[in-house]
Amino acid sequence: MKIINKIAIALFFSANAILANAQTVTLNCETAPTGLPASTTNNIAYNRANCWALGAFSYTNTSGQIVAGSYSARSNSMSNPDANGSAWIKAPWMKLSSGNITLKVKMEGTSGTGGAIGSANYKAIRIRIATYNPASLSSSKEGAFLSDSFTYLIVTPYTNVQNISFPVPSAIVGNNNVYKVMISFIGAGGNNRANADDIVIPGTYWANPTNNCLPQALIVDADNDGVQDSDDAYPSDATRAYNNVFPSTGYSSLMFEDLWPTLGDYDFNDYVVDYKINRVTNAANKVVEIKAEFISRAAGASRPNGFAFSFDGLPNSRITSVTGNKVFTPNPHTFNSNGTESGQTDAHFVVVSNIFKVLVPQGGGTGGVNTISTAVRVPNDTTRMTITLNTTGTTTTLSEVTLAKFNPYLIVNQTRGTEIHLADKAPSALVNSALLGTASDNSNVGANRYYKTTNNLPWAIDITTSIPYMKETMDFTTGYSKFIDWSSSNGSTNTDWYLNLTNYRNSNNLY
Amino acid sequence: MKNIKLITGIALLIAASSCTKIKSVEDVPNTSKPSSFKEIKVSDNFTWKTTTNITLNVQGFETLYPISNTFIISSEDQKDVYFASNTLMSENFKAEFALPVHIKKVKVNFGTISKLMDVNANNLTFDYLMPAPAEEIQ
Repeated sequence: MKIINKIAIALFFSANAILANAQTVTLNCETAPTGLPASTTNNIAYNRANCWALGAFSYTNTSGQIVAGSYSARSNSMSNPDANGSAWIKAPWMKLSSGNITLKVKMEGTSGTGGAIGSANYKAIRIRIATYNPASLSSSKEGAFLSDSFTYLIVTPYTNVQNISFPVPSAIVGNNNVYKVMISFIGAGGNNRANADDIVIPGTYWANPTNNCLPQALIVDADNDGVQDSDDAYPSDATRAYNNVFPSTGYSSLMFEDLWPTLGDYDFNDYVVDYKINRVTNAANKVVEIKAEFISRAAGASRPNGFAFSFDGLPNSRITSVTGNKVFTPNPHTFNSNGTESGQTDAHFVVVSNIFKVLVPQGGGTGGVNTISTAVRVPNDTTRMTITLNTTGTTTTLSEVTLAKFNPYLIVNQTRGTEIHLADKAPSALVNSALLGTASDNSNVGANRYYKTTNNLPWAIDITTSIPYMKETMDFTTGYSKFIDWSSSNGSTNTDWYLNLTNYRNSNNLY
Repeated sequence: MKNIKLITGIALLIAASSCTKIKSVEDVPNTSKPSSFKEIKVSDNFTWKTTTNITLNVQGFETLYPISNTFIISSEDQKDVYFASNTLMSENFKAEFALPVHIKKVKVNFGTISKLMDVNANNLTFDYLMPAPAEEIQ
């Protein structure tokens, strides 16, 4: 029976110890941010980032200055009697509970120290408790101090550690308001410094380091998804939270030459399409939807090409549905029930199966849509696709659908196996691989080298902003005067060649 | 008739290969500045991309209380957002985003924690530590 009682008592004290630990906020100067070694600068940075404020204080690990552990706080000279102007330490905003505010303090030396409060060389610790005033003009929103305060006079022997204790005023315990404890290191005369450590305050941490260390507040979150409305692009939809768009503003331009594997005329206008891809994520940062917008601008080709894209490595099984794409009959595709193209390993999305159906050649002819200035202009065609992704089971992260993995391509002349991709982008499983490495193409599947000539010239380019394209047969370099310098330098100079800056473009050759 | 076809075929083949030979960029000297696209020569590892793929390695910070907020990477003027996610401050994670090659600075915001970062590499590191406020340095 005695043994059972002892166990019960032990459990009781153990539980209380955990509870007590959870209801105190401590400054012991010992901790560095995760991943950084303990040091005077790292440790004080850790405490500051957790909303402790330290005025005219540094951290020290000098043996004669240590109060406890390996690091302590070290004040400037305690020669200022003003509790607001002296060295001070402020705790984060807290909801205080019953118990004592405690700390350990010692002086570094004995000179210039002694006497009663107000005398020539006195040194003292003053503890005050600030209220929270949301209407305050100060960034900290500190209001008036409580009338209860506590002043401790440093006594001899000054260099011995002195344990200071001040009870939390009973009137504010558990009243659900937030307070900030301020400890001032006041005095007069001399240049003696204090070392302080192990500040323990009973109560619950209630500061928000991501909001100027102001008190935690209830966030406004109408859909209750955990993302506050001010950050939520879909504040009334708990299944969506953020838009992640590339390019981040406006549109990007894709431009194709369609004679691969032979060289073309490099006017890069056989198909010109602008695009914007929005990967919508939920509060758990999972991609729930991809909204893809493609604006077909020009088709300077003579053949009815198609346009499609994939994200490298994104499997079919992640896709729930595909809507909004333009598939005309006849076409060279077959589709899975979720709308992706069948016969593929990754998910492939046909955007427009026949570009001449959306950019219709005028006059009954074929080709040359919107590339000849004197010909009739055909309105741009916008295709808006919505791709929904799994929200349960295996889900998708942003890193799986980045621009780096975006793989757009042309399907030439309704021949499914003839694909034209950006340089070094791999073709799909449906490509006619016999064409790779033929004529002017220097693809090498084993080396993951695709759609480049021996001099590494591409058949397609992707520009991060929407730019004018070339008139029919005009060499691309005659429209963009800095392009040759950029490419010939392997991208090290003239990185802004595509911007509309003075002397960067020759509009005579641009459509 | 067969001979005529054969001769014609051979002639076309020679003409085609000759034509290809004439147009080959391999024949263009590398010393002078190219005057057309076909004359451009670039290295094998040149990507033709006008964007750079950036990875921002975010070092989580252990807070005394779990704090989450929206982690935003944007242009310096904060008009263009490159990355946004709901993030626990204590979490280590990688933010991957594409940046136009002419952009050399990005702004990172996590609530009121804000840093302007130079983009001088494809891998960048971010931590939440901020310099001490002026009022704390006396």
